[in-house]
Amino acid sequence: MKQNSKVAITGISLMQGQQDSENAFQHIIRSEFSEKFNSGTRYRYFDRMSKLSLMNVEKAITGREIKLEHTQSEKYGLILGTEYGSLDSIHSFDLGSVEKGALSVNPGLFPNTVLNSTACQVGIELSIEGPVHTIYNGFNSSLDAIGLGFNYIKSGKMSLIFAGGIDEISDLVPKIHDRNPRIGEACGFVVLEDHSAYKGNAIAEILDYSTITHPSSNSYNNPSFVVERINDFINRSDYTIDDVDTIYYASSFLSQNDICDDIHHKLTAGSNYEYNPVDWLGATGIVQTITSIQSTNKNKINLISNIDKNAISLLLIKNC
Amino acid sequence: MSKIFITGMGVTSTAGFTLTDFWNTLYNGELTYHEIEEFKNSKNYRFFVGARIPETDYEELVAPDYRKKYGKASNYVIRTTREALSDANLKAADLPSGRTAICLGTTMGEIQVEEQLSELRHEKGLENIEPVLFKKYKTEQITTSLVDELQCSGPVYTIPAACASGNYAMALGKLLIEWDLADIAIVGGVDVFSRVAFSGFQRLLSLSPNVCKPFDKTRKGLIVGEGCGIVILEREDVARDRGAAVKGVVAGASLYTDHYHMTAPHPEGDAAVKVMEAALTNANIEKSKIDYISAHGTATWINDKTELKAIKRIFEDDIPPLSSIKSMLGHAMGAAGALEIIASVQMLAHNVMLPTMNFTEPEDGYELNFVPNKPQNKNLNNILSNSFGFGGQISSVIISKGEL
Repeated sequence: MKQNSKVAITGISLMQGQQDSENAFQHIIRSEFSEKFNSGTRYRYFDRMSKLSLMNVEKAITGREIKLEHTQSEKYGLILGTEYGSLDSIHSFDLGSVEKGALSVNPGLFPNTVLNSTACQVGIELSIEGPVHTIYNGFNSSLDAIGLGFNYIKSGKMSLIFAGGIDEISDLVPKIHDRNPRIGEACGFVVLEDHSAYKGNAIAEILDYSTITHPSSNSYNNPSFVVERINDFINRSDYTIDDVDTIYYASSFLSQNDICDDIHHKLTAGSNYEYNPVDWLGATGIVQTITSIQSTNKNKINLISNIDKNAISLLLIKNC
Repeated sequence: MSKIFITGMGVTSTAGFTLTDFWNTLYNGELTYHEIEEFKNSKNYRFFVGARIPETDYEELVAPDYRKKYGKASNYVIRTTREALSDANLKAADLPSGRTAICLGTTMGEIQVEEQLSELRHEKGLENIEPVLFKKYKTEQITTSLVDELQCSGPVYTIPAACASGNYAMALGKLLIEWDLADIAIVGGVDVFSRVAFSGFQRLLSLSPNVCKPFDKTRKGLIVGEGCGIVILEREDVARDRGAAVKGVVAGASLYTDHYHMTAPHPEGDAAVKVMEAALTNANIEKSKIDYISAHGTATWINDKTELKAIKRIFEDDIPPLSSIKSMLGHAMGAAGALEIIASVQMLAHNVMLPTMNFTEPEDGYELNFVPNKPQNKNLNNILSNSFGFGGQISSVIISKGEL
């Protein structure tokens, strides 16, 4: 891989759910959709996931010095991470078929039943010609989306990637969900570009990324494995753990106490830590990434970690 | 840059569950689809033909405890990967720790679980469904179940890309090896037979009432199918060090987005032209060296027309023979690309081009060699394999003969 491409974050956008008045365990996005979704027929088959994603990608571009040039569009890509995708659209379509018969389903809604629909709807709207990836890596999905985007830019294969994630709470999600009962909807994207080619002021720089999926027996109830993985990741970079200002932890199975006592204090004496009390599902990583950028001062380095039963994904990021 | 070798392959398919059966079925031109009784007997379906693996075969292939633990898509992946590793002469314990990538694509994942949920919800309500059924739905399980079964580790991606899934997975696996993030990649695609897909395509008027006739002037549409194809990729030095038998080389791969419409390609085939040209560039191969094209060829009016237009724009008057094995397999959705790459590797090994079955006459202006109805012998060195999917996900992969 070409080593000399630094990866800048040049645009960000995030929407997070607020605690629901009817169900305190759920955080729901209540934002209104842009007016354009209500006018005409262009977006009549866009489901909620697609609308939220498009709104956030456009917001990440707006207000920054990001120019999308038509002649370069084959060097632009989109990578979206999600744990449940458009499950609500899939289930509604199929339930309609079961209840009223297969001949009654709306063909215009069929494309929303494929797992890549959200990312592709957005890609088509933005006239992206490069790869559009949808990543279903469970809890780590959006962090892995950012990480894959980082590798595409670092290698020189792409010049601009929209990377992020989204998850919504449909009526099936709480039934399938088998961890922290406090769950939230979120949608967010970062714009990644080659730092040396970017003329404006970058918001942050991604220094490194790593993901390993492993047998679930490795890390489940074995915090030492997690400590070792984080140390290996830091040791291969140009930094030490003491350079890290804050470690952002999110885990699908470790509690805040587990993290603090069994992991953080074994890793470092100096760094702060933040722990997510709400499970933002597959959008956890993008929530942490943007939160770290917005919360931390310039030149501070943060470590983002997603610790799932089967995978540990890590992102090292420096605010500019 | 190091070559990326194909060292093992596995199939779970309506054409067979071993590579030998898969090849023989396709070589003999057997159609593997049939009328599906529950659709034929229902007033809700005007089309009845699909390519479905019999439930009795599934029960024979997959042990009861696995059927209880995982959804069908995950079970297809586990069993097919074991076949592929055996073909590669690799044991799970040989897979390099932390450096074994898994990239799998799918159109709808564990959709049969969702279909059961819909039926039970309609019958008795959401609250009365057994909790254990919900847990089998998770899409990432098609890769994490494999990690647990093989006890391997490395970068793993579940990356749905509709009907281009297999090629997308192969392209990403190749990249992960080239980026030095993995030494071996298990790549492929899977989809189970889906009522959702069948109903959707029926309403889009894309289904054939009887047979699949790619590129034929009288074609009527596609046949929904299912299956799983898994390919083992290894970096050249890794394959050499263990004395692997090389089945083929992934010479080039390209991924593009046809940003025109969710279900229809650009009518002039602009993006298809770009993706095929990019694959040739990535492979550093002149178009004159392509001996055969494994076409996406779904037998829908629009896909085949557009694909032919794009092929003609690139190859002009020197279009190589092309065929579509979907004429025999039906459209295995997310598994199609992987199964077509496996068939391409087998074609290279045998120097035989598999046929487009059910072919009667070409469209005007496209009197090409579609390998009609019977296989043809030809010395093959480089095959271009196309896959195009919903959402404008398009891809081309070039497979070449290779040796250590």
